[in-house]
Amino acid sequence: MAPAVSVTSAPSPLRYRHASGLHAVTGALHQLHSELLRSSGDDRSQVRTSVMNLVAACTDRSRGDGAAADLLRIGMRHPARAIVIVANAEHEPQLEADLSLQCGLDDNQVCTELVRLDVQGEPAYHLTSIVAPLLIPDMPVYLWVVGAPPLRQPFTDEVIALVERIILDSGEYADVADTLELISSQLEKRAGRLPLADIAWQRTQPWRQLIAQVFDPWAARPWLRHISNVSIRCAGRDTTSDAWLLGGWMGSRLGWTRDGSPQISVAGDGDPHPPKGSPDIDVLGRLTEVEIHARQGADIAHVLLQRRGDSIHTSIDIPPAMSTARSVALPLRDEADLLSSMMAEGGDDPVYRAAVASAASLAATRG
Amino acid sequence: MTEVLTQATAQEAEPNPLLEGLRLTRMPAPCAVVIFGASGDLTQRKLIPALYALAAEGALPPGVTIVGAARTPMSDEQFRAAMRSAIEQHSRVPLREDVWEGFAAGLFYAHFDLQPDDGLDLLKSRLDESDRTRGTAGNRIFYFSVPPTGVLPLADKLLHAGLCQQGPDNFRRVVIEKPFGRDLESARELNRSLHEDFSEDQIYRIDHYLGKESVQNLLVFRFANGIFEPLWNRQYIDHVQITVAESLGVENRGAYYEEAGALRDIVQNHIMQLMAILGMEPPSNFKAETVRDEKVKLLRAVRPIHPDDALSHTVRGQYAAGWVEGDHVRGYREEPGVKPTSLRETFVAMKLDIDNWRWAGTPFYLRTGKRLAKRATEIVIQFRRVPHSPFGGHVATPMGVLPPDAIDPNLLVLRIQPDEGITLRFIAKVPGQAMRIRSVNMDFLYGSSFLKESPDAYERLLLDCMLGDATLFARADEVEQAWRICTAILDGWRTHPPGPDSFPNYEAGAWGPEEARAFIGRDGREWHRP
Repeated sequence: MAPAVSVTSAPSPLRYRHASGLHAVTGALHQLHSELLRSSGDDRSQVRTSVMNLVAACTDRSRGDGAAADLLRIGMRHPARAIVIVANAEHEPQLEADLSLQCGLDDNQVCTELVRLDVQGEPAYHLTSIVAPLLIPDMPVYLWVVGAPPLRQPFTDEVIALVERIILDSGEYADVADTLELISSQLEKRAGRLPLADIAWQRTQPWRQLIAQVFDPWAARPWLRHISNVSIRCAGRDTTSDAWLLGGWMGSRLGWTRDGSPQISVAGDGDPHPPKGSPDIDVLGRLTEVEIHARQGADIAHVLLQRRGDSIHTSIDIPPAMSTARSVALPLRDEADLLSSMMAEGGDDPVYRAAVASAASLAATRG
Repeated sequence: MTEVLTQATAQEAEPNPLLEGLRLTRMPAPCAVVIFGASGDLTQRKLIPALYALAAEGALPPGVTIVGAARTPMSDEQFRAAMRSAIEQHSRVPLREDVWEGFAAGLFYAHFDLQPDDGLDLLKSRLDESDRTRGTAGNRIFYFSVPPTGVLPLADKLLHAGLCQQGPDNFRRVVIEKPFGRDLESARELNRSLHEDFSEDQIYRIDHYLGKESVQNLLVFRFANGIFEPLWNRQYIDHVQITVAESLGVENRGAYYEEAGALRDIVQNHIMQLMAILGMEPPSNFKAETVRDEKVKLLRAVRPIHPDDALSHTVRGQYAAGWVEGDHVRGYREEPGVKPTSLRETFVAMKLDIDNWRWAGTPFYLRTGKRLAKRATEIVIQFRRVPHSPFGGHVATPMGVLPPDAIDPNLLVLRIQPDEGITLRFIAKVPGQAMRIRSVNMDFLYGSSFLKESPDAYERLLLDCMLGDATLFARADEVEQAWRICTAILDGWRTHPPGPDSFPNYEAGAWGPEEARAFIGRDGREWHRP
């Protein structure tokens, strides 16, 4: 079927088309580029360049809107073909596509192609077969699992063979313990071949950095072997994935066993956490406090990290000579920045793999 | 009893397992940074803002203590207020109250004078207190932000106060700003004197150019890309140009500049460092000594310009009044602190030959100047032309039919500042029935390709110094080799001084004197316009 065409009349950085059916999509993209070239009257200024394929998959239309905006922001720096899929298996089979071309406004125009796919019915279970023909060949593919769709599809062999990176947020899933267990088992089963990036893990990065710094001075390092209590708190009634991952990270890095480990308490602060007001990624997370006690004979070390607005305040009291306090700003970045930085990082992360296994175990026994 | 590790045992026996996989894997030990000359411009514009940015981003360990030391009487509170203002004005990272609170708690001031009878008791007591309460464990960095004449007296003073000796459990380092001498002899003397007080591994000679991301990227560009290194030699490269152009004049540094001039101010340090990194052999690893060994080898291979050849191998210039960036500016001789008959050079261009297997026959053209048309530092690698054009006389350009041997050579432009990035120029066919060709550029812009903001050069260098990583600092023999090259030119210029009417010889806002264009033109080449 020929695509139903509607193109904006005046030259503009934004151009749109609509296509029904998969075969029409590629042709419509090509037509968009041709129109742009003709409208400029200059065969030199427009360059069709792309450096990656960005694919976002979700089940909710409003999350799809947010994802499209984020991918376009990334595309302004890394020209890409961005594909946003909103999949819903509950209706009659149908595939509708909206295409647009977002271009820079200066002389050296580069464009990002945005393809929004609305996939309904049985095809929603076979998204790889829809996405694969739309990808620019020989360009890396980044898959962003938006929100909390079932993880069945992203973890299939065909997806893993196709993508450079799968980005998800384990904190989006209601059943944290099961999700961490699923991720852990998949990572173990695939032995370093699952290129997973967890936004929740990324959110714990400033906390991990600060805790590691506290114990890095030579005089403080032996205290790592004498930690007796760790308390990790987050906002809301439920314990977040971030909190379990942080506890799992400490346990796995310091070799704590389930029986002989220090006391770890991981909990929400009990206050109902306000529901998310927007479909955006939670960039800063809900971790609020980490308190660490260590004991050597009569000496006691105490370290307290507290979230204060968009910074973390650390107070340190480690005998015999460390008694300081400071605040460090949490990285101020938007969702697009966060996603870009996660794409830039390498594949298998053995530290995350060990942390998520330990976190899954913690969450299962103490959650 | 509480278990405490020493520096040596901690490094050997007990790595920090929490650091693995983190972004900041290099964590310095808590230390006290003493800035001598703390009331000066560098401290306020660069050093304190850099330290604050590191603290705000969590790159410094808790407990890092900063002690400002200067002649101006000041209390801790007054010093903190002045530094707060400096951060507000100059920091890359905006001041935040919560971060400032912790930063200010580690900020102290100690009145200090270079006079012989003035001791360091106050400073020592500050440092001892920092060890007791902030865990700095005797680790010290002494930053000499003082005039060149103050370097040796200050080093002696530290020695006599017992502050230079590092032990197995702590470090003592000094950071020294350029100029490292004013010729080969004085540089040797400075090094010899410093070595009486400090070992070479305690001395960090800072050249802020080496802390720039784009300069460090030169190393990555050369040694992490397989496609360029095979071309990086006389076989494929026709010549290299290094330009450090400034649109500013001498500002309030007229008196200093009268003594220094462009050769000492820029060529001996910044340009020689860029040339060394660009031309050196691949180091076997990126340890400080290995990299610096390779740089020294390259500098040693530079053929010195014989004093008799100084005039034919160099061009000197001095700016007259003119227009720069839309403003009318005065000439050098009208600048404050400058003699009205000054013959000091504000521009220099030169051609250097490197006598080694890689570069024999490929000249390096270097130029720097003040009050040039724009501020730009760049390296241009011009590749050799294609040996034969298969297009014969059939290739057309917008200007007409192209002679067979006139296809533009490929250029690789490495922009250091501003607009840090890399451009590769190559030739492409213009779409259409006719065989029309033109140059096209492939651009890589640092700012738009990475979302992360580049740290200031001083942030990188101060952190490296705390970590004991001297890779981006100049070693004594590097400095002396660079002076060997420049002193030969200075000797030649002294023998052949410019005539009293020969300066000024270029208008502010131009790309230097006309002789500079003719100078490179004699070799059938031309300067690249940044």
